[in-house]
Amino acid sequence: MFSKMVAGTFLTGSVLEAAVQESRQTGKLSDETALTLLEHMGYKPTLPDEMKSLKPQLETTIRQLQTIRDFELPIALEPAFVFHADK
Amino acid sequence: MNTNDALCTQTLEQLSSQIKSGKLSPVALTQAYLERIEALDPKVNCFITVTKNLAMEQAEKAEQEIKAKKYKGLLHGIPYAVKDLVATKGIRTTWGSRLFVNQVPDHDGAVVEKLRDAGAILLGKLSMTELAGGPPTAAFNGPVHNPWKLDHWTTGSSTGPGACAAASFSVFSIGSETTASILGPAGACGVAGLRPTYGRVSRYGAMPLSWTMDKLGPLSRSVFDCATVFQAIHGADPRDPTSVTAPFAFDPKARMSGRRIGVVKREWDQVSAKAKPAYEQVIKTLKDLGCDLEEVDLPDYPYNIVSRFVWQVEGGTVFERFARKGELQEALINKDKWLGWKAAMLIPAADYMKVLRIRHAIVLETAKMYQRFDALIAPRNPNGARLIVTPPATNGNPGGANPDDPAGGGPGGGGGGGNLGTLGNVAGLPGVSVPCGFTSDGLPMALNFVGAPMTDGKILEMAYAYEQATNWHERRPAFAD
Repeated sequence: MFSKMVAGTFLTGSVLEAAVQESRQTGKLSDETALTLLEHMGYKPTLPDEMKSLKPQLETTIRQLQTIRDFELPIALEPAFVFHADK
Repeated sequence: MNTNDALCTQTLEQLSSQIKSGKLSPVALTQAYLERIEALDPKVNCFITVTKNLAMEQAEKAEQEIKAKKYKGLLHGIPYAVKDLVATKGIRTTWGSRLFVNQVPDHDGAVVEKLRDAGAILLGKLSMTELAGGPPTAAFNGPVHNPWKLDHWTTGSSTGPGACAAASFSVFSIGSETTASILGPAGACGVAGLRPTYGRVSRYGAMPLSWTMDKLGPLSRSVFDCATVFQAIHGADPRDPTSVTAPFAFDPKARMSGRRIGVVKREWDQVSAKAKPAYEQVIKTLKDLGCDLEEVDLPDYPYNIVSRFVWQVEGGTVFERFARKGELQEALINKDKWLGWKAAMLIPAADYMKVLRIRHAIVLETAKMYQRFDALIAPRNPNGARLIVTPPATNGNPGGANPDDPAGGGPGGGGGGGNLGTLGNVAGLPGVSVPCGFTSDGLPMALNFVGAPMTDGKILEMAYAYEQATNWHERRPAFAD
């Protein structure tokens, strides 16, 4: 059970990274990559032409992820992550 | 058919003085609104539930109290309605979703409690898009029609609150905003709307969509009315740990001389040639009032992407337990909604940390910008509201939305309001929408004021001064004819 869960996590991660790489190189996702991502989201397209609307959504998400990764922030104290042990 | 136009279309400011003096009975006023709703709401579809018996009980109580010289203030005896995501004890609260269509809370939301304590009268629960997001058709009770043109939308997700205020079905309404859902519908429906600073209004009893971005606020036919309602509903509440108490002052006679306003250049430049004259007139009016105007560029950040990942990951987390059982997917009209959440939730932890770091950088940059300005302004709905249309069912999804389309991709489908709108929500800033003209098709155009955190009163003053220098807010839609 545990190894299956860990394997699943790694697999999802590698599928996502493969999609990011593919998007960086080609500017889009192949049908196969999009279908694999959807499978990992627990969704199997069944209707004709369904991928026409689903694939652009996935491509947008991957492009947005790239934008976040490419955005440069200074390395400094991060007041966004404040933790108080007494609260 | 009794639509009670002359009485129902008045503002809170006008009605409250008549109630206080005894010239107007809260019972008569409530009956007038109930008759108007019965006669005209079938055209608009604002209400999910009309709380007729409760409203009449509250109206009679208010009338007795006022007769006994126990007048509570400007909201006493004033009828209102609330978006159907705020809990009402013993009254179904559907969150606009087929999944929660029979949900009946055992408590009132904090906003409903506060308004009841102020003597306001609850007329009913208002339509919204399912789970506070999606296109017009993504609502279990059907789309809400814009009172200015019934084949056009109100924008969402506060579809009912926007249309209700515009159609004069109540004196004011309560909506909610995560990314666009108060200022969007207010703009599209030609009414005033206040998106309060994040944390100033308790969300106890309200459906969570994004814990770090949700806000509740009023929509009404004048900025004065929004200020009056905000005065009654703001303040800390231990049941919403993000809520705070901060001083609030609204002076309707405040001078505008020397108020520093940043005109968001990119959004102003994007206004179409057709809409340009209306927005040039906005600039002239504000200058005539004595404001100091200066063009400004917003700092370069991926506002929409940060907003999208935050609200979609939080929203997906809120409803994950229903998705795990498949109930959510089955109930959603807009099937893309869950896939959108799920896709955002694929984001690795390290990248999500980066999103939060960028969000905080935006907050810090914004604070610097507000050292130079009292408010930033940008156009809203310069081309008017969109048509109510059903997109082609390419994936068996009648409510589908393109995530790149700002009119349908945000949770509210409220048009996002450009970068200033998104920045305002990411940084938790207060915003006011006020009507500033009409398209050649007769649809409202709007102007948004966005201020620094906790300056709700200051931006209300600026919006009020602008509103009073124009007469756009005095127009009423003719859908009742």
